[in-house]
Amino acid sequence: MIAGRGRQRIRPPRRGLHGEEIDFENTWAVIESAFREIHTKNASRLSYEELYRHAYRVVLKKKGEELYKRVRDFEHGWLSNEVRGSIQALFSPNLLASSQAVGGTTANERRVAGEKFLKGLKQAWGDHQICMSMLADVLMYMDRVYCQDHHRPSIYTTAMILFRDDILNSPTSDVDGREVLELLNHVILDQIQMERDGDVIDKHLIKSCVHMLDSLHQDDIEAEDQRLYNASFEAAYLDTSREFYRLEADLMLRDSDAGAYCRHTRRRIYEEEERCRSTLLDVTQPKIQKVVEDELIKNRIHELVEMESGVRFMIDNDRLDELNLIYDLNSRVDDKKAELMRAIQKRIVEMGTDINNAAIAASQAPAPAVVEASDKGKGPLPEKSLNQQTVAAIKWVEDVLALKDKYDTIWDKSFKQDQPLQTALTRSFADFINSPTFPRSSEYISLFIDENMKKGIKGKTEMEVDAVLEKAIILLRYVQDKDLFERYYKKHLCRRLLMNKSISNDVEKQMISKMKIELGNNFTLKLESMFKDMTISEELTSGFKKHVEGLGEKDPKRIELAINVLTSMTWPLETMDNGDDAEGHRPRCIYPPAIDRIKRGFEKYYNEKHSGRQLTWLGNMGSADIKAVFPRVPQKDGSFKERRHDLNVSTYGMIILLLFNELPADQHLTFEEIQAQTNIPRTDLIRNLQSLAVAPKTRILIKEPMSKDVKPSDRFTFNEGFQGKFVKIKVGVVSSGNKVESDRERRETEKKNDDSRGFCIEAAVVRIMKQRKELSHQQLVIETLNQLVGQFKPEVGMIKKRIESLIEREYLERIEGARTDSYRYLA
Amino acid sequence: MFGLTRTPPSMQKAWDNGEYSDLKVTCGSDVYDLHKVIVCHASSFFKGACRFPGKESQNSHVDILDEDPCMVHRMLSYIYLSDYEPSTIWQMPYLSQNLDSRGLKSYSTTMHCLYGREFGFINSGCACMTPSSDPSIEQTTFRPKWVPRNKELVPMSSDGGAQVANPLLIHASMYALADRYGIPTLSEMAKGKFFDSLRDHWDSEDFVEAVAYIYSSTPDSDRGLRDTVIAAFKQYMGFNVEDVPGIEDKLHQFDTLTFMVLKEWGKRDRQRTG
Repeated sequence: MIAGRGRQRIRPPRRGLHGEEIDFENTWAVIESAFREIHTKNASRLSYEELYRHAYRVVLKKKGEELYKRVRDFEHGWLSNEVRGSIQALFSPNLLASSQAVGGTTANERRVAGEKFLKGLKQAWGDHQICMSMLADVLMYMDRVYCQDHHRPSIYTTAMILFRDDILNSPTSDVDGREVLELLNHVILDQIQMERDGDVIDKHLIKSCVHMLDSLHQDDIEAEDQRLYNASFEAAYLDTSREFYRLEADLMLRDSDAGAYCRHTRRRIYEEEERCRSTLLDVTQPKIQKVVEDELIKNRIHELVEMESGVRFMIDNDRLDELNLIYDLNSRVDDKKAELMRAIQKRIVEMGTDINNAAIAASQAPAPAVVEASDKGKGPLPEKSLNQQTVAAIKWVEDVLALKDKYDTIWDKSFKQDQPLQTALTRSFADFINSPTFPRSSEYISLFIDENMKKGIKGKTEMEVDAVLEKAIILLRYVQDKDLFERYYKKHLCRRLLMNKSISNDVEKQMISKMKIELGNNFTLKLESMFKDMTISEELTSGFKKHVEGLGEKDPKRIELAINVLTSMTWPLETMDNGDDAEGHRPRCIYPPAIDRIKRGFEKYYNEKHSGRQLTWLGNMGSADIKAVFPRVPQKDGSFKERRHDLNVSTYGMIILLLFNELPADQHLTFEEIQAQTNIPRTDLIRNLQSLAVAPKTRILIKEPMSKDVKPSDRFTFNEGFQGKFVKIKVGVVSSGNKVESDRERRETEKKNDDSRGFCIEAAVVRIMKQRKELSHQQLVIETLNQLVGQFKPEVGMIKKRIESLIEREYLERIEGARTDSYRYLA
Repeated sequence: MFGLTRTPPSMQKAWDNGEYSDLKVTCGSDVYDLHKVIVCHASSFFKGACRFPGKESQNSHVDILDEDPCMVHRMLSYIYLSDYEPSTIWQMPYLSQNLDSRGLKSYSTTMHCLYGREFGFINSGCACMTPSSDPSIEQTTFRPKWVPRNKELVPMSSDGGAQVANPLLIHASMYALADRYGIPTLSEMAKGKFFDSLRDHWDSEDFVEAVAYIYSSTPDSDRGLRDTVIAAFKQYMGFNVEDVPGIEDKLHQFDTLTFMVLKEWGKRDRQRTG
């Protein structure tokens, strides 16, 4: 809205301002007096329009440079005469005293003096800034035209530099002639130190001074990293902090435990972070953090981890919080967390080795008893000691799982599920589980499963069963020699299947499918076909039964046959042999005619179904139920009774007993006669006779002379006076069921395993060479190792031998004259 | 300069009445009730005046001394309305609503503003029109020399507008004022209007006064209008200022005599070379 009257003409502008010279001195006098008013806080009476117009005129009249210089001189004079004096008035003895490293004053006196100084400086700086922004507003045209055209810093910037030169860089009254800036740095550092020691300080006040340092540069080039804050203060701050934390670390490592150290360190880190926010500048944060981390963690982490109350102590006492602290601290300075990892791994291997040793000790303690027992050939004692070994095996598995649980918890709760650490944990577990000093892990795990399949899972819910299986799988993951495990598992499974020891077929299959997921199809192929054989056998048995029934004439004495037809390559039948005769053929045992008839009947039946297959009868693995009638003999109560018992004996036992059926009551058979008539392998015969004639509860035969051992000259007669408490009597044969192997068995197992490894290696080598045609030795070995990694870790020596053997058999040849050893595949 | 500038209604209202005004600006006998939020954003001078804790900010009153009130009126109207008069003929409908016909200009006795039938607008971009409905103004139209002879020209209606006598001087003053009060966009607009008005106004007293004014009203380092002037010498008079060392430094004393000499000199030069 415009009020006022209209005009008639545009006035021609005043002709040429140039002509109309201005009186610079008078104009400056006006401006200068106004500036004085501004500095003494009396600006309210000034006319901005007038001052602006004066400054504009001066600049337009090309007196900009003169004006600029006058203003600078004016500010210089003002700062050095008025302001510097007021700052110097703040220098008190307490303040200056604090500058000497060892002050004779108390912290509180220093703090008060320091705050007074800081306040004064902050005030002076604040006033200067306000006044200068007012001056800059007045001199706006000069800044825009003169300063820009002549590449001068704005008057505001210039005045800030003057503050640095005239105030901060002015000497104190100190003897050592330090400058105010140094004093300022020192006071701030001193205050921060007081805060670290627990005092409360005025953070805002310090922050204001810090802002001042941040807005000024060390020189006039104004490089970003040349701010007084960075160049002067921060460096000193980092140095003193480094020194402080170095000493503090010394002290704490000496006086406190590792947990306290960690907590303190974490608090220090937070404190410094907070300090940068509240008192200093955020740019310092990463730097000071590095100082603290270096001094309190990086340079000390080894000592810290190794302290008596260090990582080992924390693990042993489940100090999850402290482990988490250590993890946190370590990961601050080291992505790999090498120190923590090293300590953890060491402890795992230590604890694992303890478990291994305990298992070895437990299995060896009764070892002399085993030797003794098998020498005397007596039943119960070795049975028991072998059980103890099984117990040791299961305890080993449980212990390892407990250890795994422990470390899983630590990993989950303390290590934030750190991936590299998990890898390290896994590696350490694998290390002790596959330790060369403890070769039994595969066997133990298989035994653990065996035990659970036979007894452990009885009455457990599906979930619990699954948990047990899962445990086994977890351990299996660590096992390096998967082929050895497979061997044991097959052996144990074989016994479970043939002797009907498994509680649940479903659980067995569940286990197989778990292994399939974990170890692959190849691994479980044979195991699965074992199950298939069992199913087919059931069908065969019932098919044969129907077939026999279909033959018409009903023979009351007919023997029922249950049969398992096992594919020879699938089943570890050799492990079922108990020794001596392994090298020769399996001697054909002579079956009694009644048995022989049904045997031939089945062979005929089977051949009709599958022609061209050869059946080999494994008498040592079967069992028979026979009804036995014992004649009337006087009982304890004086009565005469005929006694009937259902005897469950091994097939061999049945054959032996049937011999006595045809023998008159007063006759006897010698050991050699029995052997000649039955052709049962010697060791098997001894065992069976032991259980029939020596074991007290199942003494169906009488041996003469009566002793524990069975000798070739011993004579046997039918024990007509046999007395049994139960109708059903199971005649156990010594050493059946799955037990820990004896050392001899173990050596055999390993030898067999090595043999089959030889085949695997050869197969792998041939596969690789067939594809690559030519390859250097080094490369071939590496590729072979890669191929076999899922099964086992072959020794390089073994690979070499296999390669030699392949060359001999002309699968490969050496490439003559190659620089490195190389091979060529021969088609 | 064919773009039209239309004022947002809110700014129009703010300019038209003093409601919500929080800053009084006076110049001579003129009183303006203005708004800090608008003028401070437009001009660094007003920003400084409102920030500086002196008389102005305490009283919310800026008194502008030593300045032509007409020019101040133009400057302030620009801040609100984004244009000032004189402007192009196309702006007349808009500006006439905003600016009362309060004198403040001398009208030209002639009128060059013409309409070419065959080739569209001719010099309608010339910023020499001011809104006026005063029937007493008589301006005789003439055919500018630069229009080709075979072109038919039809006088354009001057309804709502009249030519001012000295558009170049006004734009030059505006340029200096914008510099002094720190309004960069106004500097640009004044420079543009000055340039657009040269073709029809260079051969006049107005040009002579404007040149002298330009060379005395802004700092030497300000090349804005100086370069425009030098280009005009070359284009319209065939005179290259750079050929005569030192002459530019004397242009603040430019006068009619010099102008006529240079004009003839250029003509002769052209004849000789032509």
